Amino acid sequence: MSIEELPSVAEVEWQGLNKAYLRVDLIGLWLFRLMVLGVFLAYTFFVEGFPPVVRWSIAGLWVFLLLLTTVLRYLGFRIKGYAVRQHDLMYRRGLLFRSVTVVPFTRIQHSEVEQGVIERQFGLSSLSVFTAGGSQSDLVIPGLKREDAERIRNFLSQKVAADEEE
Amino acid sequence: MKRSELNFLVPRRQAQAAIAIFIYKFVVRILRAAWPILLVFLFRSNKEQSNTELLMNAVVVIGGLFSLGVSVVAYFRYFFHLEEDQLVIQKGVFNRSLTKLPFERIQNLYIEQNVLHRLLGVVSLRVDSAGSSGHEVTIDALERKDAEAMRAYVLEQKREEAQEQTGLAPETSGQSAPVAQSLVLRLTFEDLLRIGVTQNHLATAGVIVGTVFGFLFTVAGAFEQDLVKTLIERWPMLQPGFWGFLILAAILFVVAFFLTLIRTVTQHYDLQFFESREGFQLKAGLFNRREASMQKRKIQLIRWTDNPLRRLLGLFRVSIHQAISGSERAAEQISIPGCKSVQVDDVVHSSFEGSGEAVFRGHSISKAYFIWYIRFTFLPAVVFGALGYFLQEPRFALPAIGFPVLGGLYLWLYQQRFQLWLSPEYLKTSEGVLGRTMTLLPVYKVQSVRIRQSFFQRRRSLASVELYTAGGSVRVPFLPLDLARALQDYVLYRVESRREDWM
Repeated sequence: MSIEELPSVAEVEWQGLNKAYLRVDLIGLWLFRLMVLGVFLAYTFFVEGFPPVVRWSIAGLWVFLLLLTTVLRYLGFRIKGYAVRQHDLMYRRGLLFRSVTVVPFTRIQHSEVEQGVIERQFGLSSLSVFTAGGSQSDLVIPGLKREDAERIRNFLSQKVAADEEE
Repeated sequence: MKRSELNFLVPRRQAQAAIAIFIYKFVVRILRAAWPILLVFLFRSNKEQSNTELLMNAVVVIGGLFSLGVSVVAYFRYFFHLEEDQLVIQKGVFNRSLTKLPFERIQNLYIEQNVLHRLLGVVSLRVDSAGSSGHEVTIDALERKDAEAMRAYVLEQKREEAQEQTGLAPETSGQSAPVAQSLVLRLTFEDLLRIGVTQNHLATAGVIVGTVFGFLFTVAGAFEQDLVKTLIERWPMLQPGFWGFLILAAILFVVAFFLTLIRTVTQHYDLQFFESREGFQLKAGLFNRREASMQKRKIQLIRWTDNPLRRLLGLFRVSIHQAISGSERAAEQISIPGCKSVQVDDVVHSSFEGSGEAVFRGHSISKAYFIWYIRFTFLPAVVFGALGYFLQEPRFALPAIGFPVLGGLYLWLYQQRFQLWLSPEYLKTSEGVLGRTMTLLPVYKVQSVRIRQSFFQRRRSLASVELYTAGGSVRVPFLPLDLARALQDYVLYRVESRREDWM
């Protein structure tokens, strides 16, 4: 078999994440960043003689960065996607810094379906796939409908079990 | 080995020396957590103590005695034994816990000895199970022959199990006979000095500075006063100045030099590195004697590094990586300093079959690597330039020019020297500016592949590739996109098209 005949990662059909995930992502982002801002502001009001110019310029910068991140997350959402191929699982993300991760089924140790507080409100789940050794090569696919996540997980565990029997 | 010879099949306690070790561990824990309090306590004891202080001290003392009692009771309630296919440990004073570790989960067993173990004539046996953090098991005190028998038994069981799975008939001849080992490397005292002198002493200096500052802050916190200020007030010659700084730096370097030298000698004292058909074994250490063994088929990747000084002597440090258990157990890997290049070849070729005959094709990385990273040296240059201009400080020109020039030189050399070598079964990288790091891994050990592309790389059709194994990863920056994709496709094809025992 020559290199050209190998199944190519470049010709994959990507499955987008569930649309509601964009909202989950942004709500989480805003909640966290605004909480930090609140703590900062409370602190500066508490400390006597904190120069207001410094306070408001830091707060302004923070909000500007928040808006910028929001735009990037919004645009980046359509990049995020996964693909279940014959022998491996793929995940793609990143608008400015794109990454494509591939984990072969034979190298999966176990997988889990998880649900965060905000995700639960939208009926979404994340699928985590664990490999051996460090956590760097683990894979998390967020923004899946609960049924889809369960279905992929079952599919994966069947695959892994089938491999072990052979 | 016959099962009847083993006395591990019924629950049993550790060697009695374990009590001493439990107490020692307890004292160390107390000292580590509470030494500032104890220090204050010592220095203030001549003063009158208030009632609350007395009460506090009483609480501390009673708490200490209580936990001491607990650690003694812990010994009597710690049982371990081997079952058909698992290691079972019962322990706990208040909450009894039962840990069952199936042999198939066990990656390796390490026999270790620290100073106390050596005084008491026992060893500890650490059982390593990959991927299941929090289930790590250490049996603190065992007679050496027991520990060795236990390790041999578990490894033997694992081997039989593996053979049953692969359907191979167990080799009857090789089982009872002791495994033939050959000595690959033994470090003499002279070798140790050579290795110690060529260590990275700057790193030690950094650690010293960090530790001293940490110590000063903790002590100052405990005494509630600024120790540094007090010291300087008492001895004005400690005031920082150019000469003072120079002398301090010189002292720091000398101390760092000797500390690294001593650490190297004690750590690798009488290092012996053996090879057998199945794996490797390492014994080393003056005070803390460490023994590690590793099966060849579990090895994920091998790295060997030198530095400018070591290159003159032709010495490499070889580290052999197997699946890492838990989260941070990097120390699990066998690491052998002072290997000559013949020995490096020996280790690599015997670990990875056919790697000696493999025909590699070399690939360089793109010059765009330099173009992308050089921009990050401009920011500090501009900051220093602006500061120098506004503060009228011509000395700031030095870092303003130094950052881009030295940084650029480093980046350019890094790009020039980085090489990726590919053969059908193996992947090798060579990188580094001052020293050199070589990494070799069999393609089928890869468990995940990642391609990264920044917007900059996308415009130029470039990509970085990261290959992860269970024992470590390799990163190849700035490859042409076609090559990166072909590499990814090939690695996945190789991993997915055959079933092999990879971990």
